[in-house]
Amino acid sequence: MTPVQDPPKKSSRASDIERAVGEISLRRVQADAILERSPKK
Amino acid sequence: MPSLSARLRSNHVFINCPFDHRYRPIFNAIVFAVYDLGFVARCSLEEDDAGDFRLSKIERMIQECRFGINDLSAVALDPITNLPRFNMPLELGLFLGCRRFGPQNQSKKRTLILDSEQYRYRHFISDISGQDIRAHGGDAKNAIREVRDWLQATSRRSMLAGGGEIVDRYRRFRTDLPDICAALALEPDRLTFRDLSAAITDWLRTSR
Repeated sequence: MTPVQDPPKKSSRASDIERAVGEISLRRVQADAILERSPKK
Repeated sequence: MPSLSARLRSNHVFINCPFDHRYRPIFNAIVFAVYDLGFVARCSLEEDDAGDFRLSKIERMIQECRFGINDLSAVALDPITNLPRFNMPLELGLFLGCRRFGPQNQSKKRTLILDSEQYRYRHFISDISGQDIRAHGGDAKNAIREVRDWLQATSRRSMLAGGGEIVDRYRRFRTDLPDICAALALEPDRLTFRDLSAAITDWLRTSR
């Protein structure tokens, strides 16, 4: 897969956005893991 | 006037599209596809220096970008003024002129022209026939596929993700975006270009 390039002009909220994206991604991964572990009917 | 020796960046893509609310889904999808494919999305919205003339910013950006994606689908009569919007054809003309009359490195420029229908351009800008002209039908998924196929063909890069894969990732990004924006007290439909680019690139690094 091709590496993702950085935008040429950085957002003034770049670090906040990075943190928010990381938290949402982690939350989704955890939710997916719980779904996978739940007993199948 | 931009310097004639400006560097042509081989992975930068100038996006010449309308920025209004109605067009936003297609614009966001194109920006996402460009970053997902490993390129860098550029557009006049990335600059916030109000002291610089708008056209000068656009000229500088066009000069730096090897690739250009120009969407002419918003060229239609405005119901209030009864006049068409001509910024997109103007910037397309600048891009083609830069390739034709600029220094030698500018001849490497490549451009994709998108419209809502395949042959609509013949009624208002027929001289562009012979360029790469594709239709997205007003559908963000089609726009992603057209951008992907064109960038793959013109850049000759191998190992680029397929259109369906990018469409699927874009759908997941759109699902996550409201939560990302809520955490930042931002509105998903009103993100600045810099914030949108940051959200897309961070999301791609953590989620694909």
